[in-house]
Amino acid sequence: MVTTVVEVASFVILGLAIGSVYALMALAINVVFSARRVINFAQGDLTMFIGLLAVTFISSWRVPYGLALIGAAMVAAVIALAIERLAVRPLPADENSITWILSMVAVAIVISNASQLIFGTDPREFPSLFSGRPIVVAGIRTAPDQLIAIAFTAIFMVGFHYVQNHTIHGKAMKAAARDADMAAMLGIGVKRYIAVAFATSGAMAAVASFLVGPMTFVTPDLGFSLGIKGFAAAALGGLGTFGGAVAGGLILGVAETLSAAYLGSAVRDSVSLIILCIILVFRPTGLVGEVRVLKV
Amino acid sequence: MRSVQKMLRVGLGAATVLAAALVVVPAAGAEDFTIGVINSMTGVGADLGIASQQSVDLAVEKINGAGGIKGMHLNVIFRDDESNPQKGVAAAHELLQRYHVNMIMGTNLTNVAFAVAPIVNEAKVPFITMATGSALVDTKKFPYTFRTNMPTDLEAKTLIGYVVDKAIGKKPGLLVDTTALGQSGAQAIRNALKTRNMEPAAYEAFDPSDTDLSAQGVRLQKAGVDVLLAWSNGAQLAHAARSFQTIGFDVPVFGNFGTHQEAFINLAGPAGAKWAATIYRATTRSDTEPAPADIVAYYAKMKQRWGDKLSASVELSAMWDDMLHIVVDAVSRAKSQDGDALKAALEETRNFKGMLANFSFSPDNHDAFPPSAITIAYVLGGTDNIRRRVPGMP
Repeated sequence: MVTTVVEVASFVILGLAIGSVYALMALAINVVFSARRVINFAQGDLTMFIGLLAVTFISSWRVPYGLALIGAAMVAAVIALAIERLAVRPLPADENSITWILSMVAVAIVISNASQLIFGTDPREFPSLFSGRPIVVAGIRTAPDQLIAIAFTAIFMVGFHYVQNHTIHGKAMKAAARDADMAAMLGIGVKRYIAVAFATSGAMAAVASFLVGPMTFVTPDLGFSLGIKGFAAAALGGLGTFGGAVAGGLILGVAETLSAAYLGSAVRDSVSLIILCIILVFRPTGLVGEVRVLKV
Repeated sequence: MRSVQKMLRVGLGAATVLAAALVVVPAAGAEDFTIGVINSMTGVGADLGIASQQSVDLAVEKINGAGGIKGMHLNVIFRDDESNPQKGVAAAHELLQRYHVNMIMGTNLTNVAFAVAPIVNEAKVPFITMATGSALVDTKKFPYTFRTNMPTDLEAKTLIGYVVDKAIGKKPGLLVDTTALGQSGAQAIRNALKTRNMEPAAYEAFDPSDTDLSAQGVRLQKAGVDVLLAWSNGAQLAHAARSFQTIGFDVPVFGNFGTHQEAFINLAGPAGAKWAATIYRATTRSDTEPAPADIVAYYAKMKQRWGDKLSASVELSAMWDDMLHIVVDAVSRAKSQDGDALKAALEETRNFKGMLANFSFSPDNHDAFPPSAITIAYVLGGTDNIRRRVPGMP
């Protein structure tokens, strides 16, 4: 059986589409990690919960797509703020403490159980803006939802990068993440920016759910899978880094798609995690992560 | 004095807990006949479990309203196996040891049934299953297991018979999941092809957690597959249909009974238009026939009882209704409620006229579904849950 360039290109596009979602998940994890030095293990479950809520908005309540996205993002931001207020802020700020791990895992379980109680356990179809008919360009077949996922994530990333580096609030958020004590001395409301970071991660969960939903179905299992992949992508690229999240997500997405295509779907997750292990052995801080130097 | 008070408090607390436990655990009384039902109310088989429970609830209300089984109140205890074999095993232990049920019915899912069957048989309690995996019914290995639903071997034989006899394709491909359901389906299809001196042109497996099956589709396409046999549950097969639409792999697809699950109907969309699968003949019609009146009437009764909550897998509800009435008939004939007496009574069931077929068991045959009662129908495009048979299929 001959493998053609067109065929590989189709799989790469699929991998980039899935990788775009992983990149968004990783970026959300990184935003929170930068601000508070905790890894939000509930990010995947929040994305799943918001996806199911969005299906209810669009399919049951007939809310227009754009309004549903805004509404879902607002609900997600509120939930993320509640997580920060109830499950993170009361914990010690010491980054070596492990209490936050238990707290974040507990939040993930609570969200997962709540979604089963509210929405049930059946897989739900996430409405798509497109008919589902593939687009064929130069023999490469791809679903419109895949292209939208890639394009939207790219635009979102550019916008986020601009806000973070070229606006006063973005710079303040970065400063608070880099050195909270120094930022506080300069008059930056560190607690406020930590809350903003959580709210931003919530909004990203909503965006991710709108991108991944039409490509798969929304099921309660989706949260765990997305959370793990998002964390793996963040670790691969370098925890706390913007470029790392993008690179980690895309590499992971393409690697698992190509391995499923040419080695079999049984090895899909193994291959991507082996790549993660190899990179972390040679670059423990991830692809673009920096070594933090502590002055004593 | 304080320690005496403390002991009294502890004693009182323990007595209260014990009393509560005694109240909560309704042991099967002499005037009750208790059936334990293990089914998936959550997870991949949830729609099947819900269809089953809706059927049992309605049938039990009717049976008890008419005086029960020879004056005995029919009591049903439901347990959710969460589509998980381990949870199914835990439920079986609980029903047998805590509730001492007279009979266990259920597990629509083959992988759960394989886990539950040894435990129920060991307890010498009749186990009436809906799972289709052929090896589940074996009078020597599992003497207390009975089945009214269609077995996998019969499904495979029917599908291959149609595909070959009607010349639907010359290079059949096989797509199955990696669970016991998919693997038993793969074996059954291979066996059926062998009787026609054929082999699958390609074989692809997928993990039930896979959400994109483009890779499998591309490999099947490259192998020149012109007709596909698929074996899994509804949601997974919907993923396959969507992925195949994207890559342009457009061949006739014939699936197992699981393809008719609500999940496939709700999720596959236009990508599932060409998918057909095995189903009970009584719940179908050809393009020229009217809808079967008795089934339409049953569906209407179910709709009246459950309204919008009625499962789209309502044909399975009809099968559960038949199964429950076969059990009631056997219990009313049994000499006692003992497992062996119930088994003997079930084995004496002959030509029981149900909605879907005439069912018969014997000491050597615990599979009651007759080959004449199976057909192949399109999954989508029916009206009022009455499926449309594929052309040329009786």
